[in-house]
This record gives sequence, C-alpha cells and structure tokens, in this order.
Amino acid sequence: MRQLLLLRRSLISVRFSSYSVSPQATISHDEPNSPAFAENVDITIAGGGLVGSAMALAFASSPVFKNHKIVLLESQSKLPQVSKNKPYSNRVFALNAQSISLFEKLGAWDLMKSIQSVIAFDQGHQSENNSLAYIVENDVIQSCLLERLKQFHVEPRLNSKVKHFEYEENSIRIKLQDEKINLRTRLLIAADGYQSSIREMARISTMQWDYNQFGIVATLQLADNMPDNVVAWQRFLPTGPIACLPLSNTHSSLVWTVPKSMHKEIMKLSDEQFVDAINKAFTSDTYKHSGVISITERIRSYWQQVIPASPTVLQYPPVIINVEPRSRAAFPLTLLNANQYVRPRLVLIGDSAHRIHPMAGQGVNMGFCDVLCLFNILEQAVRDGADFSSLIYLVDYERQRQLQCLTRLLSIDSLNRLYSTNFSPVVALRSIGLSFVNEFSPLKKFFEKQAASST
Amino acid sequence: MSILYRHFIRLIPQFRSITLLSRQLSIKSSVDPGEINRFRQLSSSWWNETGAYTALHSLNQLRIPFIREQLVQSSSKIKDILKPLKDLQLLDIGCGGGILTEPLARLGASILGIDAVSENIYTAEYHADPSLKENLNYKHVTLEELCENVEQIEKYDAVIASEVIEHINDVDTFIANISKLLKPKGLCFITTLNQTMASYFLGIIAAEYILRMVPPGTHTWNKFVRPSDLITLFEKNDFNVVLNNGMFYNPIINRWSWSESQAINYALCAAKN
Repeated sequence: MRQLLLLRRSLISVRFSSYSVSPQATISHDEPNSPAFAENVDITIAGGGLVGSAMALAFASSPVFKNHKIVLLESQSKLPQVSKNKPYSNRVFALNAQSISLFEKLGAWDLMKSIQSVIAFDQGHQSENNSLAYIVENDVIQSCLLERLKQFHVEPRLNSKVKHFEYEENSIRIKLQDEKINLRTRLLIAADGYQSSIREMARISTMQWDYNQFGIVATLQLADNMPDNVVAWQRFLPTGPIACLPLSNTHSSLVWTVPKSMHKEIMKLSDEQFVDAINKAFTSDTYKHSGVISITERIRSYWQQVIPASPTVLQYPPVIINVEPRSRAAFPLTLLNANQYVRPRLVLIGDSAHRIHPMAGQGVNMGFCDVLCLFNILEQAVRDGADFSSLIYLVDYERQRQLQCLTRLLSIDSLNRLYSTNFSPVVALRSIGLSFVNEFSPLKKFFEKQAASST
Repeated sequence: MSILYRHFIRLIPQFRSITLLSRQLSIKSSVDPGEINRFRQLSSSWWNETGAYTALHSLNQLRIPFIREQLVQSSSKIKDILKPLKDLQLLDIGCGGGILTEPLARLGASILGIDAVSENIYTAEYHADPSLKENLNYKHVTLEELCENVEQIEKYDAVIASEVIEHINDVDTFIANISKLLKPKGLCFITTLNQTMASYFLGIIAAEYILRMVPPGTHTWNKFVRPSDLITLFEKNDFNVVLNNGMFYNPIINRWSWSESQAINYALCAAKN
C-alpha cells in the first residue's frame, strides 16, 4: 500500500514537475569572486562504468559530434582490465539483442567476442530467431569499451569525482575533488550508479523501496565438460529465484536472490557446503506442492488436446562441483526510479536513473537503451542546429525512457511479488500460467521479444 | 489541487506586451550596465525554454528540418552533414530574439535577422553564440528600408517570415518586397495562422485568454491570412507554391506536428520564378 502511494506521488511529480533551475543555484554573470580558471568542454560524462563508457564512445565515434569535446570522469583510481587467461569475474551480464546492436554500432562487439568466447543462449533449440541473449563478463565489456575509446583519443580521467556543480548562464561549472580543477560544460550526463551523488546534489527525488533481499553472486564450476551449456537456468523458490548463467563449457555464473535474514549464513558457509546448498536449491523436491503439481498436470492434459504440444527437449539443471575461490559476493536489492531523469543541462542515465531486481537480467540492458535513446535524440538536435543541451530535446528523452523504464521496473517487481508467496492457490495459478506460456508458442514468442529488446 | 494551481500560475507569461517602444540606443561600448542588465533579463525571457516563448522554441523541431530539407534539395552540391546550409544567404524577417535565426546559422548559413523592435535585436545579439559571429548578423531595420539598399536586391537564396505575416497590414506589398530581395529561384518560407472559426476559438480565445500561452492582444483575427489567399498573392507576385502543410500544436506536451488540417496553423514554401 505504501508503495502504491509512493508510485502515485512520483507519477504526479513527473507530470507537474518544474524543470526550472532554483534561484540559489544560479550564479550571476558578473559576480566578482568567480573562480579563476575553468576548462571549457561540451559534454561531461560523470561515471566511467559500463553505461558511462558506452555513452562516451557513442559520442566519440559519431561524425556528428566530431567537433565536440567529450570528457569522461571516473572517481576510482583504476578501471577493470581483462586478459585472456584471468579467471572469470563474478559479475556477468546477459546482453540482449538491442545492447548487442549498440555495441556493433560502436565497433566494440568484435573486440568483445575475440577476448572471450561469448556464449549465446537460445530458448531451447527451436527458436529460429536470433539468440535471446549473450552472456558477457563485466570486465570484458568495460575494457573493450575503454579500448575503443582510446582509438578515438578519449581517455577517462581517473580520480575525478564530481564534488559540486553549479549553474552558470549557459553552462554548468563542475568542481572536482581535486580543488584546483574546474570544468565548464554545456551538458552533464550522470552515469554514476544507483547511489548517484550528482542526483543527490541536484535534489532529484526518487521512488525507491528495499526488497529485503540480497543477491549472491559467484562463479561456479560444472561437473562435466558440457558442450551444450547454452541454457540459462532459473528456479523460483519461495525464498527467491536462483539462476545459473552459462559462461563456457565448464563454468557458469550464479545469481541467487535470498531474503536478508538468510544471506549472512549462506555467505558464512564453507565452499563445499555452499555448493551443496546450490545443488539442493536446483533439484530438491521439498519446495514442490504435490497438490499443485497434480492440478497443473491435469489442466495441461486438457489444453494439449486443443493446442498441439510443442516438442520440448527435456534438460536437467547443471550439476555444480566447485565454486571459484573468492568469487562469492552479496549485495542488497532495491528498486529505484528517479522522478526526473533530466534537469536543465543535466541528464541521468543507467543505474543513477533506475535500478531493477536482477531476476530478469534487465538492469544493464536498460542502461544501454538509455545510451542509445539519448544519443539518437542529441544527434537529431545537432542536425537541427539546436543547442544540444536544450531542454526541449532532453525532455523528449525523459518522456520516452520514464515510460519504458517504469513499466519494466514495475512488471519485474510484480513478478517478484508473485513468486515470493507460498499461498497454494497463487502457486497453482502461476505454475499453470507459466506452463501455458511455455507451450503456447505465440505467447512465448511475445515474451521472448520483450526480453530481447529493451523498448 | 495545489499542484494544479502552481502549474497554471506558471503559465502566465512575464512578458507583458510584444510591441515595446523602440528606442535608439548606441551600441557596444557606450551601452550602460543598467541596459545590459535589462537585455539579459529580456534575453532570459526570450530564451527560457519553459517560459512565455516555449511554443516558439518547440516549433523549431518542425520548421528547421522543413527549411533545411527544402534548401538542401534545391541545391545539387554535396553537403557537409554538420553544415548543410553552408554558402547560402538567408534573411529572417521578424527574427525576435533570434530563436529561429541561431539554429540556421549553426547549420552553416550566412543569415541576417531583422526586426522592427530594437530591443529584440539587442536581445538576439546578446544571446548570440560567439562562435557564430561570422555568419550570424542582426539589424534593426524594417523590410521596406532594407529594400531601399541596392546591395540587398536579389541577394538571398531564401527568405523566412515565420509567425510574422499575421502582424502585417499589407501582405501583398510584403511579398513584393520579399521578391525584390530574393535571387531567381529563391525560396520563401512562411508559417502563420489561418483565418477560420477553429483558429479564432483555439488560436485566440484558448491560447490567449484561457491557457495564456501568449499575452492577450498578441494576435488580431482579422489579420490572419487564409492559405488560399496567400497562394493567390504569391502567384500574383510571380511565385510558385512548392509546399503547403498544416501544423498542429499540442499544448499539453508542448509539441508541434504536421497535420492534414490547415485549420489553425500552416506552413508554406514558395519559389520565385
């Protein structure tokens, strides 16, 4: 109930929100103590993570922006690098078709494929469409984007956290942590993660709630060399979904959502006990309701008389034998949506604008979709001769993305709630529903298409 | 309720009247700081995208591609994508604060913006991007005065009079003067309001009194020109109308779109024979 009220309030504030700059934030043009030197740039991107680097690369690689000065700021002292023989990192992403086409456009996709034999996972073996997704590690994506940026002579400025920013007449003045350096930029793009300090400084309100769940990630070693390890597994337990994403013939990546109360004990387990817990979670029958199963089977037998059963390949979940040392980590899960994605000369992209439950693997894909949307809109602005930081164009970005992101956030949230209950009628309904979607191919294709694109 | 009230209060424009008395002020070094301050305020009013002129700003999304495409098509040279209007001479009549003039200059055109109100010219010059000073110029002069200057005759590849002719008394002479300044085969772009019941109720009553999108008294319905009349006047002055499209404004989302209906706003492009 409280969450519905939060949602209603945030929707109202989106509709009637003021985009004007508050009076205290403006510096008068001829103020006597304006600080001395500021470097003039056109676009500043704060945050050198995946989404920030992709945004910088989109501008750097486009002929329309060739005369614009792009700066990428990163608060850390180094960014992840990858080499062919390093063990898999514990953060991997399932990139959908739209993200892949963005990387192809930026010229980074071939580079990623050459570093890691990325696994394409399909929906069973009967889909004629393109792959549903590709699993790629965080470090691989990051270093390929940076490599491409280097080819365009754009290097991220490390140790450059934005400490403060203020509005001037036609630009934003940014003060970095290092007091001596000031930047004067026409457009500031904030890609600094879900705890975005720029969003806090701009006092953009958010709609957020805690899921009371933690996500546990790890890199797992599989029992046999499985050449057909191209299927992603997800099982919805009452405590939360557990998912296994294929990385190679011998390794997979784990994302296990557990309640807050459980995560500490799972993190404390020894490696063998942890592996046992994972195998049990995938295969154990203790979670099954016999009553629900019999109802589901009966209803399936009815509709199979009407709808021909599509040939299903029966596969068993992978058997885990080992977990990579030091790859186990846990992070809290929250939902977050900023009520405004834009302000004059300021745009939020990626996790600083929205954060989603990891169960559908949509988070970073939504961030890359932000990049594509903003880039297309700003490219159009430059072709129209407009000042590209003009609010008219930024508001177009916000309208498109608020709608798409909010609906996706809320539908995944509803799915999470649906699967968090043990109440038998709900369990029965959702099992029947899921079986139906699986067997009724037009509906299944519809959901595949939704997952494959972020729009 | 309080949210709605706050929203509608914000719609009342700060700018009282469009016809300020023009005063001759000597420019540049002898302008005093008090005046500079006033121009800054006027400039921030013209150029505030969420302020009184918000509809003119969003109209750029329609009229810039319209002008750009027609000009690019009529020329056979291969264009630089960043500066497709390079080497073209343009004239913007009634340029106001330069809302339409600046983007066209950014696309590479050598453009002159003229306005009968000197405040508007100073505002436009104040706001002008310094990187554009070679191809962006403003002049406080009327169309008739410009026609008396021999160097201006047949100088321009295109003349634009956007949201202007509904304020003009003698449209026939206006078009005749434009014809004098245009090169042969030059283009003339007009955007204006139609004279219909719809434009009275929506363009005047709703826009000026109910929604307060423009100050009351900005437009006089009797001066609106029907597209058919405008086409007749163009043909009389030896023009050939190339394009004639309706435009529709959605005040809720502040966006213009092309429309089948010319009932309220329309855009016209005519070529001099």
